[in-house]
Amino acid sequence: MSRRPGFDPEDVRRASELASLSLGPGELERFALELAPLLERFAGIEPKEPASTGRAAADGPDELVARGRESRLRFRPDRPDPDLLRRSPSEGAPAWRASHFVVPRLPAHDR
Amino acid sequence: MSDLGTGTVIGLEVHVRLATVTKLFCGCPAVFGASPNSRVCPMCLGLPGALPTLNGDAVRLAVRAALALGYRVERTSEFVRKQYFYPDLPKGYQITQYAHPLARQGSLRVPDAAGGRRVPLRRLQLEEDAGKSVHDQLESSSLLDFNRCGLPLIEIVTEPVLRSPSEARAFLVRLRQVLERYARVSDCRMEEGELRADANISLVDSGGVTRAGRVEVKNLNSFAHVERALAVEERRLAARVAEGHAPGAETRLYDAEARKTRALRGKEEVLDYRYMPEPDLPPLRIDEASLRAAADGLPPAPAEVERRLIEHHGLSPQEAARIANTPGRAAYLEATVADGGLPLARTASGLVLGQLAAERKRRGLESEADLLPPAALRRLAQLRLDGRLSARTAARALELLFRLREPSPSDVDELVASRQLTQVAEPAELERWIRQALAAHPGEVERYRAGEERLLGYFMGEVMRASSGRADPRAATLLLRALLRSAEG
Amino acid sequence: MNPLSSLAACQKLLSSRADGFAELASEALARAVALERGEQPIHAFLSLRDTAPCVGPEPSPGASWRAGGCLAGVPIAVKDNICTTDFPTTCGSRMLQGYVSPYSATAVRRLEAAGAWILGKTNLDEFGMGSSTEHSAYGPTRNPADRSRVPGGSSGGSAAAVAAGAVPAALGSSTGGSVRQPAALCGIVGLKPTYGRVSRYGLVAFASSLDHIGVLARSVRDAATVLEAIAGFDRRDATSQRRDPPRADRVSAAELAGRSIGIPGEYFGDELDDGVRAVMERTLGLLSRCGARITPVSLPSTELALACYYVIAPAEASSNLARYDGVRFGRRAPGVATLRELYGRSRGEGFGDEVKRRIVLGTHVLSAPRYEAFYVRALQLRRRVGDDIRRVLGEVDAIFAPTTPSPAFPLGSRCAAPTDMYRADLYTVAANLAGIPALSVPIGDVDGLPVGGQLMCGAWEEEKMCSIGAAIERLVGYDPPRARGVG
Repeated sequence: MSRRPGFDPEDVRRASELASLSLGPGELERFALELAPLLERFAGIEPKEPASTGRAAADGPDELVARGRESRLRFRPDRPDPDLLRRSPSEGAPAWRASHFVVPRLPAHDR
Repeated sequence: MSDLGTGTVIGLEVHVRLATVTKLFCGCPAVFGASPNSRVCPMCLGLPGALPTLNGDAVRLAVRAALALGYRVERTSEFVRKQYFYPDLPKGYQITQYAHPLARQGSLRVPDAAGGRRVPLRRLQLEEDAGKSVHDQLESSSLLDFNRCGLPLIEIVTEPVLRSPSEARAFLVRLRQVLERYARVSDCRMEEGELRADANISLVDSGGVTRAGRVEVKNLNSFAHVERALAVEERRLAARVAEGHAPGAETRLYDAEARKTRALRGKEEVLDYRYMPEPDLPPLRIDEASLRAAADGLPPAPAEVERRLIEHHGLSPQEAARIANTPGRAAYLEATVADGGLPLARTASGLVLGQLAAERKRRGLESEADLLPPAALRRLAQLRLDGRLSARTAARALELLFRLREPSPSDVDELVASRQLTQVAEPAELERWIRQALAAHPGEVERYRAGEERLLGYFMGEVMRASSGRADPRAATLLLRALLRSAEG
Repeated sequence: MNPLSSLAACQKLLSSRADGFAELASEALARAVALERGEQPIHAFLSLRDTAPCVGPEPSPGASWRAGGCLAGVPIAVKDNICTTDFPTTCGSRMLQGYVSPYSATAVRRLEAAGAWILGKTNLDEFGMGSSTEHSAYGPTRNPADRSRVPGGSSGGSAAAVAAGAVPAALGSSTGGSVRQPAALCGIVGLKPTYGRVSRYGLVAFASSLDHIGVLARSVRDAATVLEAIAGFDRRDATSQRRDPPRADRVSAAELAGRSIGIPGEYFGDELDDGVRAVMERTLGLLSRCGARITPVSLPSTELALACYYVIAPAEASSNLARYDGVRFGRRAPGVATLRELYGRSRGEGFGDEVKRRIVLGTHVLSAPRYEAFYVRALQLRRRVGDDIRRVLGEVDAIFAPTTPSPAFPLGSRCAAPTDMYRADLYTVAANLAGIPALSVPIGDVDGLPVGGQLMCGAWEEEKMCSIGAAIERLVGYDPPRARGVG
């Protein structure tokens, strides 16, 4: 059984909204057309052999432990690292005022 | 609509900033009140090519907090990216934990009338703070400061089991006590955003079916606000239900001035955080050694300490709570009394909560133990309990003892003897002080004898003064009465 | 002879005269400038030094640098998605036009600590997304072997700069094959190390779990020498590993007899161009005549690898590229009134077509309704790809296969159907998914278009891989192409 999720301009619109990416109307159609075959091919992949472990999710605890064995997260000592602070953040800022970055006014109590 | 018997259920989501020197994923100093954007680096600004590195001390403190709250610390946990666009979030995602948090299934005992109630905690996760936006300076713009961005937070989520706004407040007070004073993982200053709480509230009927909610209440800047906002919301929901409505889930803001909550305008876009494992950080493993290091010197929970003070040392619940306020004070009291019996514990507790606490505060000391070694206090309390020191001479003795460096019990005895602080019940001595007092106030003696009996207290004061507080009050009172009567006859 | 054709040639000039560095540096600069001239410029560089100084950087005394090939005074080019304080870092994107990083990547700092002189920054597909360097906001790079054709990508500028003889070596980056594929198409060596071998600190992220910094050079020995300089643990990258750098002086072309070389049948399917197949077969003949044991092996997950790569890479890209929002750095769309407009237009106008396509794709597969079916499934497939390849590498010393299904294709020929171009990565993505080292060496040409053969070895086996690669290089005796029409 392989359900083939389609991919249409509406999917492109939703994704571009989540990604805060303005697309032209032509782009919605075009991206849908270009990417649909790729997604369909992926959805059509059948396991050639039964999954060796039968796990439902690749990010389950076992997977996590396996990855943890391969590579271990190191700890940094809790000491300031001053050489990162050499230049003012204003240098690359598109808009800067009174030591702050500036954006169009946010709705009050938005967050 | 027949069953109007409703109850309240409240859940809390608390963020606590860990007291580290640097941020969670970069070496920027974690300081409060620095000038805007002066504590930022490529990582906290989300510059191209920057990578996170994990602050080991933040992990230690988070594990310590988890242990202090009875959590099960996971051997392997995982950082994820929680993705959304907002200007205070420089990378477009927050590094946090989701499917595999640092710890699960904790609990905190909150005091209540029935002697304490266990509040189950769902999970504890380690995550980074966002930047700060300033809205009120300019008409058309908002300003952004990223100093706060990347500070280490732990998120603690309760099961929705709190039954009243006051219980929610009690939970937070207890939580702060554990994290600030017991585990010492955070300074928990609410005014500086080091402890932040969001609450959700629902009304349920007697069968546990939700009648209203779940309403999230935001903008709670103090414990008092939490309680008031929840009370306001509880009443609002109850009124709606009584009118026959079934209010659903929403997010509301608390307006502290108006003491009202108001609905937050719904966001236009649907929230989909698109959680994904953080590929820049391998899974986090906590081994035996780091567990031990995190647990180092961790005192037992305050609820446990209070129980012992009440059951083993005979303190009242109020007294026990005050003693257990800090783990140092409780340990000091227990070291003082050892197994000296209930009366000794109560006497010592009175001294600790009274004069010692006041002096510690005056001197800005960390602990009462810095004022007087437990053995010396024990000797003093014993003298007081035996009646050899009066309240006044005990206070005087303490004052003198505070000036000594690490006095021993024999120093206490020596001081009491040399300064003649012991209580005197010997009749001849007492009679001398009484006669001295009466002789100085013939007019009052006349009035007493004319029936103004309330002057007895006045004479006792004078006797105590004459004796420098050493007169045994009971014996002195008896003798004073007798002498006043005998002079009459 | 071009003094920039190899590290040895550079060192010869540098040591022969007092002003050797000034001469080498101005030669490199002149050659780099020449690549920008003519009707069909190669256009390998996006930024260059203004002038050649008289004195090159000194190797720093603390550099973790062994004898065996010093980089002192050697001009090196760096792909423009690797941060440098001396040049802009544009990633080939309008979004980062003129952006100068406040810090340099660890790999760049290590090159400079070894005494290398960074000549300039090279062109690339925007943010590394592409296989032809046509997706650069600053115009395409052309293949020095045939200027009507692409140099491959995304490290096309680095490959062209090396192939055209402007520098003996360059840094590139590889997420799905972006070092090996352009190296193959330009007729040079491309080395992608083990994941965690070279710090990614300062490499602008495309897909973090797949991104590697790699080396392009004209010989395996030179590539290994540069790798040795940039490899090693870096506390700034939590995924970098504590392993001693592979030593270039241990790379020995002599060791081929008795080596078992696995040939995966799946890499010789219908996709494979007949000319490339013929070059491969000739090379295999040479190998077995030298005593190598040629063993057929099977990598059944080859097709899966490409499919899961095009889910995982865009997913991570959609996340990594969220920071380009016009707020703290980079380009902001002019005249925006609301936050929504600021984001939407800055990103919509700042990113090119291919980047937008992949952001849409990546966001889609991470969105709640698709997450399990696509992203989680792709992670499962990724593990299977890795298991597959590790199983084979447990039986043979190395896997050998063509680097690309076909030689360099004409500019513009695959732009109409962009996802067709994704097939150019078919043979290279597996090594990125598994995190194992891989090396492309030139093994011949088809009508003058270079062909690369690819070696893959187990994790941390770069010394062995480079030894086998050097042996193949000597056996084949392929003459690196001279850039036609360049000095």
